[in-house]
Amino acid sequence: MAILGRRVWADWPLALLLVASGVLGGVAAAPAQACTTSNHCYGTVTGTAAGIDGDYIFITPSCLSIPSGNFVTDELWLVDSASAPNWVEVGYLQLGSGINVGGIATAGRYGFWADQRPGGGFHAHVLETNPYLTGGVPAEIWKNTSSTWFAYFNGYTGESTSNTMIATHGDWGSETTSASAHGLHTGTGAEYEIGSTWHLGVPNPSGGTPALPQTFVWTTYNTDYKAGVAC
Amino acid sequence: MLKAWAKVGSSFASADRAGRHRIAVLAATFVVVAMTVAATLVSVQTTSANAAAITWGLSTTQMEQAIGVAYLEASSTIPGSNGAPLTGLTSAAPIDGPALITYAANPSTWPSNVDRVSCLGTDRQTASQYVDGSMTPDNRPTFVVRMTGQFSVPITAPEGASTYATGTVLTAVIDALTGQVLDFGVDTSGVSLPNPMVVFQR
Repeated sequence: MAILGRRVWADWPLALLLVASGVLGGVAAAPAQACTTSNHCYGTVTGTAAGIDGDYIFITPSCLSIPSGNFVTDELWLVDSASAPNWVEVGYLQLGSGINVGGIATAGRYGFWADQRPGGGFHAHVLETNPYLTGGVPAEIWKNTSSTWFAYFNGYTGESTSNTMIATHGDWGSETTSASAHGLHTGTGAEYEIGSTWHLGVPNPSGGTPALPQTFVWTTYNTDYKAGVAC
Repeated sequence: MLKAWAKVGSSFASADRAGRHRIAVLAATFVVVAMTVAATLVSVQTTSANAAAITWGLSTTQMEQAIGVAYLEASSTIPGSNGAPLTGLTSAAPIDGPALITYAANPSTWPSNVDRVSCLGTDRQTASQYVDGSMTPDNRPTFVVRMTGQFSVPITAPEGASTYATGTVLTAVIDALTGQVLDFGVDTSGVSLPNPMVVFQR
């Protein structure tokens, strides 16, 4: 579980150096991935715990920009992977011009939440238009009742209803459709909830291998990290 | 020792943060409940005189905005043979101004996956009930665009999930002042809009 963090942590300074020096090609680093609207790139950590029903992070983006026809996020998810999967997500969304993502078709920066529920249906909601990057924002998802979930972003809330998903894990990090995205953020104070009790950290952290341009590194193991595409 | 104190401090900070969120949500919930009660009272009071108590028709300008958004949604939600969107890229309506309303009434001006477009004005909380039943403390004036047909839309999703969603009912809630989409849903069924203005129907 810690292997992922240590491996990426070890790669991080090298990757930055290589990107900065423009000599990435031909070096045996994490392979660059074709990030497209049909093949999203992730820089995330997965936290798994029996009975998980909430997660939290304070997100401070260093940058958020995206070419037209693409998007990048700094966010967290709470996922039921035993079903379709289904999920609730909340965070920053930077949307380029000329693309429709979850029905939002106007370029700009948003605080948003979305869900996909058992029984079908995808839904997206704008919580805040053009949220500040400086200073960051708290983002949180938690279970309210057996079929309702709250999504919280910087003082704004939405409530997912008729959502009977049973969460299996949380994901913290970034998602994008473009290798030219900029969306690095600092995540601090990760927490997760079981029952009505919040616990510090990402539980049993694991995950896929973030392929460049996406990155994920711990700055304080299992609570604080940097994730996303370098600025 | 320092670590221990840091942990204690962190726990307190966590408790404070969680408490603040709970208070914010309780306040938001109170606002939602209060507004729902108020809306219900208004609805009850006016139902006898007007069945569409908290919805309204759109002005010509708002109809143009609604149709403009509908074209953006229609152009970027055409399903391909594998179910994925042919393109997630949007195309604006080919004309604007009042003539757009007449133009949009012609079914041949819409992608073949769209069968019907309708709209109405209402507040955001009521509009959310036509999208997915989600709750929001925000109750700004909006208009709802309802499209039926076959749709496939690019989405944000956790790793391992599909990068698009499909459905036969597409609903978008639009800020009445800015024209921006605030809420969106694609589903296989939806709550019917009460007495909507029909833009076109095949």
